Amino acid sequence: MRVSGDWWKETGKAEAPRARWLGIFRRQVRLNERAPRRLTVPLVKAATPQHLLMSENDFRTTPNTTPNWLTIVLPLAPAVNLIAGPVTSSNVESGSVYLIGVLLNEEPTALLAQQRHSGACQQSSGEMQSPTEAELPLSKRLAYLLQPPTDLLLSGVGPLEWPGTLFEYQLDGIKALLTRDSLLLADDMGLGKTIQAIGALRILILQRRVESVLLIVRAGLISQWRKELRLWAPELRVSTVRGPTNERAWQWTTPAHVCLVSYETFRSDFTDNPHSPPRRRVWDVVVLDEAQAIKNRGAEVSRKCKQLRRRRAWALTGTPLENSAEDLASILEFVAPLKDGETPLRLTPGSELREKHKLMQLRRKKINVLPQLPPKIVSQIALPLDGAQRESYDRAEKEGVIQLEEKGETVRVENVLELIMRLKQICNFCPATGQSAKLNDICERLSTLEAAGYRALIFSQFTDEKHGARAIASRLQSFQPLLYTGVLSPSQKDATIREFKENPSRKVLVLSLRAGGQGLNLQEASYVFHFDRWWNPAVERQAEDRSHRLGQTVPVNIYKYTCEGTIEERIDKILQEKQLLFDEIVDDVSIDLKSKLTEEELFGLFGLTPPERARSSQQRGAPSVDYAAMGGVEFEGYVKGLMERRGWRVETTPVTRDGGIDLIARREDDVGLEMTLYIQCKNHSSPVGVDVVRELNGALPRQHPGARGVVVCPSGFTTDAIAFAKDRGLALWDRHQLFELSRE
Amino acid sequence: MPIPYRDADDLNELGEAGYLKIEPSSVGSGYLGALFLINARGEPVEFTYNRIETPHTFLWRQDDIRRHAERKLTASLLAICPRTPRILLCLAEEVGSDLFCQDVQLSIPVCRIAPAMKATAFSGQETQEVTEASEPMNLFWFPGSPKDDSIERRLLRELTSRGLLVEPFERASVGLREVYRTKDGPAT
Repeated sequence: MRVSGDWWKETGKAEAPRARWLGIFRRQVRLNERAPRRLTVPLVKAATPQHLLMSENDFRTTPNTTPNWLTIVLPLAPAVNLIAGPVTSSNVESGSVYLIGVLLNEEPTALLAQQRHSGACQQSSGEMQSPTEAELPLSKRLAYLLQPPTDLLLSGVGPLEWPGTLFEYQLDGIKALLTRDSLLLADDMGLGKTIQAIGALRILILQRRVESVLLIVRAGLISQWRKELRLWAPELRVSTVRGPTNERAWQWTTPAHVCLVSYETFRSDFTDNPHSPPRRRVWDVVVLDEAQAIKNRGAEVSRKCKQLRRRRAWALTGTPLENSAEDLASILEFVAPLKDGETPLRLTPGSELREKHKLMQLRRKKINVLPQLPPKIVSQIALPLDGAQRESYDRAEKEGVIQLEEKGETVRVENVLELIMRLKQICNFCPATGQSAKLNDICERLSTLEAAGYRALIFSQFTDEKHGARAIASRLQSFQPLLYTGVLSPSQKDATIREFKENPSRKVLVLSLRAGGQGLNLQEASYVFHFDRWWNPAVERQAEDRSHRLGQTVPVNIYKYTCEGTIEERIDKILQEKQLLFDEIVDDVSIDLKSKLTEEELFGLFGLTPPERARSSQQRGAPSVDYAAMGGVEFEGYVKGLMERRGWRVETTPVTRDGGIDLIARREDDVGLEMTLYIQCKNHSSPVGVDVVRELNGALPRQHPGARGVVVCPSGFTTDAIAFAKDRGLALWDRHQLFELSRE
Repeated sequence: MPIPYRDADDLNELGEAGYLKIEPSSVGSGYLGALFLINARGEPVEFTYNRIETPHTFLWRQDDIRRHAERKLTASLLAICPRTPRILLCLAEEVGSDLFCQDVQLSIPVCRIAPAMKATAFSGQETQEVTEASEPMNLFWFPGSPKDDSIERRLLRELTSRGLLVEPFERASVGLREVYRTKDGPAT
């Protein structure tokens, strides 16, 4: 008996095989006695590491000196452990491979297992090729091949438990994400892009092909993502990056499979310093949720997302094209891996973009993949304005048109838009009496719906208490509505949504279109009211799809209000005409029509024609400014004016206790998130030094991830100041930036 | 260093299952062998492999040669595998009861698996039980089946519920073909 390890041993019970011909004489020949001499087994053809395999006595080579000896030769290959030393496949006869961690940090092109094993991958010309034997050592090939097959992992009875049944198109989506390092997942809203992304991440992480994932989402959706991650990938470790700077620094370095961060926090933490947390590592996967957040190529967050070093890049959005092909180009520029030393891809609209789009996008429409989803019934409701509301409206429009005419050649498109906005507010509520034709209609409908047990969402583009969501909520008190707007803190937003979902007695949720129009799952409601109309049908559709999505069990009724004989009706007519045109062009992905209306159309809404001046204004440059003639306060006022013309709301801090901050400018960005600039104005005759920049940095609030510091000085900045600002993500504006700001 | 999963403690407690795969070589005479270790979630942990050649001769009974080859092949795999599984699983159609009842002794439970619908020979030293997986299976345990509350039993339950009772044998076979395809020609 030979002990070969702690947990096994080879016994001496088994005898070596006996020669068949000796069986004839079995009764005469006592084979057992002769066998040891005549049958010697086994021989090892190649040298075997004795300390690993077998004892010398058992496996010594028998001298083949006696011609009549019968020898059975069982060549046993030498054994080696592949972990102990690098061995290529060509010289390995046997061995042992430790498989955990073998695949980490591999390039995604090294995909072998699923293609050979399950053959289930959906492939297209944009996907990876199988590596050849020469490209991958045996240990890695084995590590791929021995992973559980994707089909098994995705099945309900496989190694992974899934909390719900995945639809066929979702399985296809997950497989596409698994097999492609670049994908724009552009499914219709409500088809479960979140679940598909989490499913793919879970499998990639389980198969040890991925370890570091950066997931960038809208701030308001962080809680929802955390919940979905906990539900669909419970074993993964998630680090949510938020809160004060020192806590975020720790959160970035916490060992976790997934780093979950909002766009604002990411923008704040990604500085020019290559050691800033998001830049410090190469991410295995970067996922952008609601990727239309980077549709503006020039936006800071867009540039920073594209600078992330990443092996895989996935963008999730139901509306990859909102305004123009430039939006799509900007998103696709992100959807490509970026290695060390490479510069981000640059795409221009044209054939190249179309080609990339075709390769990189996976888009499924509800009508094709979810025939079982209940229908969405859209009704346009045209209401007449009565009494005081009609009078208020007519008076406001008449006065507004007169004012536009009085401006003569100085009238601008913005003046028209301001008037439109004012009139739309009056269509919501009469400023004098609070009367509202829309609200009266909604009240009647809600009474019926409430009695039948249905629940409703009401969207408005306004949030204020006179014309918007707050006004609606306060006037619907009898229905105990919940209110969801951008001013709520993340925890308040969570609480509001939770209350609506978990408390069936809450029948009505009033939401601002920007804060509540994206990302939320509100299948509990089956009636959606658009209290007022937004310029962009895609934004409206996103809002409707909070209810009309996976999990909805009853038909969803959409009501869109317009008031007869008002600006709403005129705009709606133009929108419908344009929408038909764009539907044909862009596959149901609608376009921001405001940017597509000509000046003639906008002025034409009021029977006016645009002035000649307006047509040539684009070519005009900025007037020259004599900064030397300005005092400090005057310069502050000048900068404030520039910012306000650009749509910022600017507040001047008290002179005596400004703490280094002269102006605070706020504005909502493209995705409705508030950006805040803390501006210090220095009208010095010489470049500003590092002390001033340092002072501003010290004065910045630390718990406001969307905040950014700016120092303005027409004379420029010293090298030290520039370096200091770069490392901390501060912006420095000299006379060139001021010139750009002042251009019309 | 891999980041541990949130349920890493549970996984670690259950340990690993070893799948012994022995199949005839596609070229020449001989056998390929693999000891494939996975954790309770089916993640591959260790893959040990070897092959043995047998002579082309009428002088020995093929069953004898096979048994002896299996014994030596198994011993070599167990010797080189640096990890100890909680249980060892093998297919009854590939591994006879002699291997673990007589030739090689293990300190862990060994389970030979066979479809319940198929007649399978087993030793009187083995304990038979039937498991209700998606397809009913006969399990032949040696030296005896694990107790109900034992870690080995929990591991087996996990594997069964996750569809991993026999599936890893297919993976092990794929692995063997990958290792030896250049030696034995293209995998079939």
